[in-house]
Amino acid sequence: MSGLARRQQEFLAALLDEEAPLPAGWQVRHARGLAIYRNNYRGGLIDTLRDTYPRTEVLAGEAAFARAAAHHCITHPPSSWTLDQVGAGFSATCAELFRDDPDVAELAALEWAKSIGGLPAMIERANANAKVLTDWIEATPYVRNMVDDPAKRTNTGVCFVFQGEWFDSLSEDEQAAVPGKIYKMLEAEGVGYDFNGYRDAPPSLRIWCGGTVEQEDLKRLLPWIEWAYEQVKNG
Amino acid sequence: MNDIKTYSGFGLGLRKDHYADFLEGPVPVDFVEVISENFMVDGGKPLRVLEQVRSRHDVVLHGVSLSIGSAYGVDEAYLARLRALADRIEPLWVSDHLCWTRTSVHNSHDLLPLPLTTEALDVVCENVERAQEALGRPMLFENPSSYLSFPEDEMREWEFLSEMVRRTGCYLLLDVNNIYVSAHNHEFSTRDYIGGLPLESVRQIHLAGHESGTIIVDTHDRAVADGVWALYAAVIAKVGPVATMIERDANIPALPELLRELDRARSVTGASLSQANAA
Repeated sequence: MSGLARRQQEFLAALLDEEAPLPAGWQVRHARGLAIYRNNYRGGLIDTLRDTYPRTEVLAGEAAFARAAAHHCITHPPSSWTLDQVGAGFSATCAELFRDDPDVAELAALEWAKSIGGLPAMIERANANAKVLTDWIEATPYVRNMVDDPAKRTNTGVCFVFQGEWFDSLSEDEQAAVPGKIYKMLEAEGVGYDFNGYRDAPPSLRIWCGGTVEQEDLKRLLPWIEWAYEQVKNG
Repeated sequence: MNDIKTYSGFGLGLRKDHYADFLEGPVPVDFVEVISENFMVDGGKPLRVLEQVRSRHDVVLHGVSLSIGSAYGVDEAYLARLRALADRIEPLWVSDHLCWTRTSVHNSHDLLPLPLTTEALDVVCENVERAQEALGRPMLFENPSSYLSFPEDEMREWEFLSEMVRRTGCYLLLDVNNIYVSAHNHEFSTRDYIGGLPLESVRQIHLAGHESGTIIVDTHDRAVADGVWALYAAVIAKVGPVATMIERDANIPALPELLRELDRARSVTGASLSQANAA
């Protein structure tokens, strides 16, 4: 890494973390200057979050919102040149910080949906998310969509069942246990929650693909399911 | 690459608070500066507003996210969008700042200071050349306001800027308030700064307000300070008539108040040029 690249990484780390030690060679006057950059960085991003989440700010209260926004800017430093993405994931930050008041996170999720284009954009996101799942189901020989007729499939709670030589060789009880075993393994790994199939449905997994889910998160989940399936299959 | 001809006139930044004024009728300014990133989108209201403004005024594009000092090079996708906007709007010129805003993964959305080293100069010049090539035109770069300098600095900011201009053929957007702010914060002489620059490459001037203190902060939230007006007069005496605008980004007043402040720029310019001519 070049000297400049190292300096820039150090500088950005110092912006994000007040506790970080001052970079080598810096003195008190540097710390004073750095504090101004830190305030500018946070202030700019907090203002952007205020613009995106005006009702959430009212519900949470100004001071609590400012703390949550500052926390978000530090834990989710933006990666894009556009400010449009600064608010991404803020409802999850609210869910973590306002545990006693789940309305805050829910309202934030709604305001985020509004800011990215409202209902049409959310439907588009759900469609794109469902496509990630259905493409994977098509490409994976040991699963199939629980609903045979594509016209009747949902784009939100996408369900799939297992098939193939190994699965068919199992007893009915053993077959019924497969999705639950996969689910428990991934829950234990902290990979996903609440995606075991419906109790009244055939043994299956049910992946939520609604518009509030990030496509990248779905893409991350799928290799984990493949891993867990192999673990279950190989005992 | 085409030269940028000197353009003299007085302008303001286009801010949301004043969209209605600019849409209602001609505003008495010669040009309008817009923040490029606000319009680097595929469609929607901001672009429609800009196109209407463009039908009445000359426009300059001023960016905040090019990150010309980034050790990781310039972002080609960003440049492609900026090029598309420039082709659509046909601005007088495209500018950004001498600073960096991002690492390989994170974007600070703030104009961060560069160490003034030969290594940084090489990186900046390479990035400027790539940006100018992608845009098909030379750019203007603005001198930043800064709150710290680096222990490894090898040159002064004016030397850095002069070398940038010499090597890349870029032009300068001289922010007079930034010179005032940084001169105080880093204890250098504004006279040395101005005297050390290739003033024939200055194509635009920014004026703005700041917050005084042990460290002066470039806040753009109040009227231009008297000390900055005096420095502006000194710059105009050396540079001659050049595009000048007032930046206001917070506590934005009604448009007539900013227009009155812009009138002061007109009269300071007039007085400064008469004095220079008389001398």
